[in-house]
Amino acid sequence: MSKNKTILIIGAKSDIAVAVAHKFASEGYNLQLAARNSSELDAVVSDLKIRYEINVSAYELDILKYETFSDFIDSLECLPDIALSAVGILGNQIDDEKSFPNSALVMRTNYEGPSLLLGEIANRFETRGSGSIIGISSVAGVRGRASNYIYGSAKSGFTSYLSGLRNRINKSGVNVLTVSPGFVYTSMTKNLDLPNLLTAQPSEVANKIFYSKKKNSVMTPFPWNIIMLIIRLIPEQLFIRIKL
Amino acid sequence: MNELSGWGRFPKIKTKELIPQLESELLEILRHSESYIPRGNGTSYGDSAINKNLTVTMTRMNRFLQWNQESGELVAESGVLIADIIDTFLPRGWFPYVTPGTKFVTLGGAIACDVHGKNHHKDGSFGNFVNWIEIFNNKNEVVRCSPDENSELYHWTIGGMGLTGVIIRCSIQLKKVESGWIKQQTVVNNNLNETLQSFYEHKESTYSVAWIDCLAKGQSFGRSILMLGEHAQKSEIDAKPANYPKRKNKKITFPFDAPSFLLNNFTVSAFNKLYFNLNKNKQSSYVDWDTYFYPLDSIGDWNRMYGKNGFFQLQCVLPREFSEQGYTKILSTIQNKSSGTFLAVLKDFGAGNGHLSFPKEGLTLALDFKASQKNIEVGKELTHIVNNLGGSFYLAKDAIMNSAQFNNDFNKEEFLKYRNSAIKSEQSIRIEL
Repeated sequence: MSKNKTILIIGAKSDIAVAVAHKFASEGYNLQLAARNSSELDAVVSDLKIRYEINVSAYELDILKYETFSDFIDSLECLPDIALSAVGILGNQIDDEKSFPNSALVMRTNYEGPSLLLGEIANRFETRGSGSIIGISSVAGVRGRASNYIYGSAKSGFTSYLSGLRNRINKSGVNVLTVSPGFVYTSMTKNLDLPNLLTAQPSEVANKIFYSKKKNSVMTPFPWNIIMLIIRLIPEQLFIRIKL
Repeated sequence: MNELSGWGRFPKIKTKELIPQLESELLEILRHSESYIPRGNGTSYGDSAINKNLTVTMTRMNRFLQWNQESGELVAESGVLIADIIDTFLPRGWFPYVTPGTKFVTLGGAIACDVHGKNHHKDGSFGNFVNWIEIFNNKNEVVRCSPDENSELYHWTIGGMGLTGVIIRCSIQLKKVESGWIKQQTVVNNNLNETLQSFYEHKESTYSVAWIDCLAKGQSFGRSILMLGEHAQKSEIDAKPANYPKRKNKKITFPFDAPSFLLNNFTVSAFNKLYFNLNKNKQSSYVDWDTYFYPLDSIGDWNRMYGKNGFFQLQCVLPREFSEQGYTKILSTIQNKSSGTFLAVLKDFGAGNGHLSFPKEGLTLALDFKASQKNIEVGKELTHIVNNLGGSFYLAKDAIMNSAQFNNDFNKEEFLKYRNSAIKSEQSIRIEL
């Protein structure tokens, strides 16, 4: 077991995180799962252990409390080979745009927390001279749109942070991958009416991540590359008139 | 709102569907619902897992909780699929004791329908291998029941169609096997008499199932191919590439709803002739577990074969003394009246299990019918024949019975003590269960 690689999954209760855990476990990785109210992960932990006969440990972590991050990293059984953040909340644009606390929560959860934590882990990886950072951002971060710009701007910040981190650190043997999923069938999106062709299952995103470990950025499922390219290219004059 | 149906795609019913992931989420939903039904993976054929008001699908509560490699005891959440169990534990030498004809059923569904396999005459039904069940009962509490603890609740829950409460987790016993291969032997029976006799002669065989040619007439009336099976021992399968072969990939998927004229007595009869002749020269061979137990799982969405209106299945059991008389009547009725009965499967049952379980001593026949008004009439006629002979029907397949046709020879007063009155399916309303 000790020779197996280890992946740390932050925000481990999300559907994409659980799918990622299954994929990496099935490939022989040991798992470190971190989440708030981590006792809710008990069933997932026993399931992964039984199914894949690997080591799984769970850690309590509140992504808004950056003062705990150093201790959290020190408490890990070992510094992992890969650290992945699947942290995120969608919020509710219409309510949130009238509320400081709501907006701040969406911004801090999607941008501040994951960036600071992955940033600190990246520093440790840099010292060690190896490791992979994977941040799950969103296609919503490509351009701010009326329907979800609070979430989108936070994801945009996260994407930029990862881009800068990659730029700084890639010479030291540390890879940084930004994953931008389009629609995914998860608890986060269960109340949305999603178009079938543009919506992926969490397991498809997990597979894509596994096979893109060494890349810089990836959008999934495929058509989102084209959609977001078009959205990015629309001139602002025209963009402000479109309802998106 | 979501349109749901069973595997038969008939009937289709609009409902609100919730798919909780955590026990806390599930309990929150159940405590605030006045009318709902739990649902597994939707492989029962009719409307037994749909409630118009709320259907609570358990497929995301699908985690293994404890495993004992020495004893083969597995504790798991009720949304775990038999397929997951085989994928995980067959390579470690363990296989489900009882499995239905598809591996895509949940543990909760297997218990609620008390499903059976090709080994009922030897091992009984799924419920025989359930150590305990934890259930959200009619007092809105989660309680454990087993043969020793809350035993009445346990016996009403096995085969109870989910009506005693939502099954949250359970402990089951797996069977030790030396390989994932089945030694299959084929016996050709040229008429109904031979078919019935053949089950008797081979009752020592662990697995047995007969495919019966419903449309053969005259001297061939009731002809069948009986397929027997035993788990192969390690020493027998040296030549095979893998001791524990993996699940087969789906070979093909039915890409669209077949046009309704495709299945008629002529095409089905031609298929049956072909199938009979292809198989009658096979004698003994080793087949992998997936091919042996789940031949239809390899065709994705095979339920589309019956066209967009779907199909229904009738599965009855007749008391042994009426096998010949009853099945002669049933096959004659099909030959005279129906169109396109594709699949007919005959199996042998031993004694039953739960208070509401379907299996009873005797032979059981399963018949598929394309859903049409004409076939529903034929179904009703068959129901009449079966009821007159003291037989009964499998609720996991039923989509057409009414309360008078449902053979309810159980203690209803006792059942009501354990029934959770908030739980109703379209079927339970239809048959007043």
